[in-house]
Amino acid sequence: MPLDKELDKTKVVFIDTCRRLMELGELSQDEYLGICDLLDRLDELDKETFDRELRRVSRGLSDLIS
Amino acid sequence: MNSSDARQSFDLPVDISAERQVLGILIKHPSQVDEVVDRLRPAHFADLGHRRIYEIILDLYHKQGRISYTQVYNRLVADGVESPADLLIALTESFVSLSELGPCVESLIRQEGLRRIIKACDSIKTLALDPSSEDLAALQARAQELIFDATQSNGGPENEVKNLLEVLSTCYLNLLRRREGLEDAYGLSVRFPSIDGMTTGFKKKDLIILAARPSMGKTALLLNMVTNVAKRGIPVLVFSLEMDAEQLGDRIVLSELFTYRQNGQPMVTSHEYQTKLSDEQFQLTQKVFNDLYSLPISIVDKRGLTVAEIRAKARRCKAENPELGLIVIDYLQLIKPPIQSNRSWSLIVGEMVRELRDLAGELDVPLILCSQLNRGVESRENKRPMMSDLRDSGNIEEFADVVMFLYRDDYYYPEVAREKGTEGLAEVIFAKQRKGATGVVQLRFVKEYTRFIEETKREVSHAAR
Repeated sequence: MPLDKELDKTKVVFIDTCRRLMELGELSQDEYLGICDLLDRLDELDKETFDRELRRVSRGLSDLIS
Repeated sequence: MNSSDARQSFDLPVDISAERQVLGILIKHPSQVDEVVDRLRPAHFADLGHRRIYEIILDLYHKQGRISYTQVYNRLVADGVESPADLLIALTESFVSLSELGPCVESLIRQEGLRRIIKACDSIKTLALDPSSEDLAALQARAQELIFDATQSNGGPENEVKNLLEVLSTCYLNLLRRREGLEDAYGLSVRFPSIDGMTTGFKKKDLIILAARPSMGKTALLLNMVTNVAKRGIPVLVFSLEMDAEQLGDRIVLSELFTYRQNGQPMVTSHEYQTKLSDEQFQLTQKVFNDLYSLPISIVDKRGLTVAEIRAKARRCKAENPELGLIVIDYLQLIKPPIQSNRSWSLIVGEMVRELRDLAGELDVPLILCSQLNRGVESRENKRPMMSDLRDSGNIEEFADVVMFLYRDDYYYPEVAREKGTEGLAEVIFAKQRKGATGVVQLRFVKEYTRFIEETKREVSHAAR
């Protein structure tokens, strides 16, 4: 599968995971919405900005990923 | 809602793969929504999960929101859709390139069109097998209506919203065509120059009322116009609720015989046609028959038709003859009204006229509807019809685009007409024209041949009498 399609698929899996984390109480609703917004703007951000933004939106998730 | 569970019956034609491709492309390339929004409706998606995704995309598009996997995902979650991720992951893998969008849209339109036909057939079958169904004629009319609806163009709301630039472009092209004298730039000519001069031809989608008191020559004028139109190869559909088809046929032949003359006299009189012809007259009449055989005129002469039955027959005729150029109905008061005893006659007639106007619009043809006038005319000294003479028969004039009255002075005042030399003169009074001027033109009525001919003097004044 081409890279951008793989990325779309990953986004869907990622957001699905985040929603489940929210349902489990691991993420707040604000964190979840912030992550959604970040994913929508993913194409506009370089990796460093994304990492920084993700850390700002959700410290816990950022630590989990890194 | 699970995608496969929610999917409609697989007995129906569907293209699930194309549905996924279209949705995948639209989410990945939101700018492409512009290309499909006026062609695809949610109903084009057979899979209910896909249909919901398309509705979400349209909603985001119309609210100028961002169209993305996350936005669609959250809306699906809010809708309580089960496993939204599975639905969307299938979309991410569905297409390779943008060029797939066009063929996939075509496929969805085709499948949806097929589904509509099959559903219409199912509905017809259910109706036909229902023991409590209405009478056969009503059932046939309903069946035709269902099929007609199912076979209408497949697009969604295209062409419903037109911007001024499009409208003015069409107006300007029409202007150029008229300037170049192109015939199709005008409405439908009935080959009476005085009438055509007033109307610039009857326009498509227009409802034209031709009203008069009995014996003024409504049917004669109507048939003359029908023959003139058909002689140019334009198909015409005639609903004759009073006369049978043979009577109409005889009238058309007789009317044509008037044109053959010798030493200024018609070669075959009406009486001779109705009795016995000489060999020479018979040959001439045969020639008239031969000329008329090929005219594209269809006649429905069944009495007591309802508007629904007229609509069904007209739709079928249009489907068989897409070039159908004119529908005429003789006459309004003989159309069988729906059974609604609690409504006033005026409202019922108004509703019937409105439905006939809608039919003209739907089939994109002018529709001429003959109408009787009430007796109020007789009680006045000046017996020329007026708009108010129509009002007792429902608000006919409100729905009509053109209202024409036919009036002959010699019918009421034969002595005066003889003295004034106005015998045989008929006035066509244009009391209303939505797209043109009102006024009066004159024709000459040759009663024996039920034939109207052009009168040199065109404009007359009501004040003359």
